[in-house]
Amino acid sequence: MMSTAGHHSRSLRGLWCGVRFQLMLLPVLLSACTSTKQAQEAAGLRDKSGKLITMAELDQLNKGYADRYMTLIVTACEALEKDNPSLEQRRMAHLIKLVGVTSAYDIVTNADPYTELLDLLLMVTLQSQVWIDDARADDFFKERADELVKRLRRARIEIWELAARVMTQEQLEVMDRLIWDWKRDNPDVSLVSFVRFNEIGSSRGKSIIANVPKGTGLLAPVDEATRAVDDLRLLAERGFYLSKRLPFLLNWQMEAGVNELLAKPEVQKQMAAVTNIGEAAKEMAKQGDRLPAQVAEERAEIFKEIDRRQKDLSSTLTQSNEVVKSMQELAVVVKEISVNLKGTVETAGHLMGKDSAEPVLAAALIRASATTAPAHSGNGSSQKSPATRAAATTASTQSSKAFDIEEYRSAAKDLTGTVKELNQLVSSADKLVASPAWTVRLGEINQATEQRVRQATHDSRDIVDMIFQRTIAGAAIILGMFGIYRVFTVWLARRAFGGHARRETRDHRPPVGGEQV
Amino acid sequence: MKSKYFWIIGMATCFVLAAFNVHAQSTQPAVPSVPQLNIAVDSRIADYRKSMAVSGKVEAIGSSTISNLLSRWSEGFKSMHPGFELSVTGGGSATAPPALLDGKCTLAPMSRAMKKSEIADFEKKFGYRPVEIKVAMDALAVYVHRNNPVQKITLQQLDSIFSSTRKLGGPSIINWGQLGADGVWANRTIDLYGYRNTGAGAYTIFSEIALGGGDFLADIITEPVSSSIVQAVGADEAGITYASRFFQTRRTHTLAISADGVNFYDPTPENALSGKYPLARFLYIYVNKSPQGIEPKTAEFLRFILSKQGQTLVAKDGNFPLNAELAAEGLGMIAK
Repeated sequence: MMSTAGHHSRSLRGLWCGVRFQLMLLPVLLSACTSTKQAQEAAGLRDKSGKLITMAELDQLNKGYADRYMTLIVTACEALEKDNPSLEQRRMAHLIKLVGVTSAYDIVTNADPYTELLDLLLMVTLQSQVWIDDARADDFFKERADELVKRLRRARIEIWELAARVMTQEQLEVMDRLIWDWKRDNPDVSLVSFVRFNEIGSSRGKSIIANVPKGTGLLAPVDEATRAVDDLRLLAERGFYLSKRLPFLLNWQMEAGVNELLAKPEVQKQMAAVTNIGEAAKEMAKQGDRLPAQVAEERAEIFKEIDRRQKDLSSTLTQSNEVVKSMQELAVVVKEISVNLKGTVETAGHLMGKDSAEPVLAAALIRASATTAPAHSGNGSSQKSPATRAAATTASTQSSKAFDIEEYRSAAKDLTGTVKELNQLVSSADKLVASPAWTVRLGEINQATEQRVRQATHDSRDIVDMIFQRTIAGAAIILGMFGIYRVFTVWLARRAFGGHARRETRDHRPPVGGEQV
Repeated sequence: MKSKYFWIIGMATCFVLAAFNVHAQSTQPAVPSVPQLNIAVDSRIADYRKSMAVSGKVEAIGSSTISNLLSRWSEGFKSMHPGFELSVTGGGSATAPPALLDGKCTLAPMSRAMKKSEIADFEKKFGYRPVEIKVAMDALAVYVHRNNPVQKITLQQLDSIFSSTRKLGGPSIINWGQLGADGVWANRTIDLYGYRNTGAGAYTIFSEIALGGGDFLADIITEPVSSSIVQAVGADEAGITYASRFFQTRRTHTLAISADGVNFYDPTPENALSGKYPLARFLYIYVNKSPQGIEPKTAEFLRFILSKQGQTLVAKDGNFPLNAELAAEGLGMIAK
């Protein structure tokens, strides 16, 4: 019994202990719940009107701003790209749009809304400083710059207005100085879209800004545990947010890739080469067009010449035919005479004896021939008297080579050869124009010409540089010489007058020996 | 005789070399110079030499204008004294005298001189006056768009443009033609830009000097920070504003200013230090110097501020460094 009673007693004591323990835990649990609620309330940033902005609200504001920024930048960049003949300007405008918007979306899908705000503030401010304050927009886009300036300015005003809702004036000023200092320390950095707050600033400035969510200034403290819960909750939302915007970002990325590719020096060179090939082909076509015309002209000239020569040849042949005909007639006459003479000679031989009669008759025959056909007898001149020979020589000079069939035959042969060669030339020219080697050769000539032009430009620049250097060196030497001359003349003058004065002083000084004396 | 000619030629060579050297020096700013800003530091200011090892914390409460500068000095000093720590609390110049009075800080940075009443309060409590040390100069510049033909302006004209009360007595000015611009500019209305924060140092100084203590017009377009104000003018051809010279951009130019309407001065370090440029002001640090002297680590830090290294940081921060005389004067006050 005792043991049962004791058991009950122990059970009651245990129960009581359990109740007491739970009662003791109750205030702790209640206070824990209260503190969690307080922390949740505190997990936000108070704007200047005193209204509490939660981290989730700030996250939404940041995302809203990113979309607004995208609208502004796309408007500006599309205005810059529209009807712009400059590939470089279009490429840069596209790059500003792509990099800026990608960066903004990258920022607003960050885990921490306050860091999102700082990074947006930094990115947009730096971008406006680079393109507006440094006048890079003017330098790059010239008269089209205003559109970009206006939109970037608007983007900057809006992000600072957003920041002013959650930061004190002093914090804003510190942030402004931090950004300005960073910009001044990095004057040549133009691609600022991916600079983040973590990368800038001195330790003190950074700590002032970074401590904002911990409750410095106007801001309410943020509980780390609550932030972690918020982060998890917002993770999926961020994924959806970015996935909705990814298609056009990818589209822009591809477009930027094409632009980049086109802007590469190698591609530019190839494009220039294509242009050159086009020009070369055009030039070749022109030459091709010209070539048949030239060949036709040359053919026409040649045939004209042939016609001309043919005419001469015909007349010459006609003449020679007439001459031959005359010669034949003459030969017949001569033959008849010869026959007659033979008969006469034979008769005379019989009458006077063979040996004495033949020379006499031969001489008579020659004389007769000479009188009968003086124009056609070239072989009898040696037997003429000197006066007759001189007259015959003059006559033969005046009418020499009136007909030489060998010469014409040779000319015709040459002409045939020439025509044959011409035909070959025309044929080979046609083949040449059609051959790839022709294109290659044209290309080589173009390249060689370009190289020479480049070399000449380079050489002329070197010469100008050398002339300037030598001029400067010469000027320096002259200046140095002038300085030396000046110093020397001053020294001479001093020496001349000073020496004179010293001499005078010395002359008027009483002799030392005298004093001693 | 030979020796005599040797000396003559030697002297001549020295003269020529010296002449070239002088020429070379005249074409270069005094060292060290700060890139981009081209603000030269007086080469006669002495280098900082460590006289003691410093460790511990120093509190500074006061002007937020000098906060950034104090941070730079602190970082520079810390590189030589790793145990040193400076705590800076901004809040405006008005917070400095009470903090110094209550012993909450040993350094009281101010962008204006202490008022008589503030000095009197201090003197009443301690029996001696606080020590005023000039540590740098700041100049407000008046900015217009780079295409704006106007090159100079008087304080009275500034008052006529920005003020509703026009205490300097000029007529109201609303377009650029009234400032001497002609052609298309003559009838162009002036767009005013200014600070949203009425507690900003530039706002206070401008209102005191250019507006004669008067009120600003209500239709001024306000911006939260200096760089934004200057950028606004860079983006608006008809705009005008005022801000530290530090915020100069390529799209803006500064105007020469005249107090008397006759002599106009640009916001250069020389004109600011000589007092010719009307919108320049000294930046001060006030300290409590008891008969035993200034607390050693504070004094050492102040010596660094007034050294060449400290003044180089002033230039790097975009302010005008002191000249050798003012730096020596400050060092004398610390040592006394």
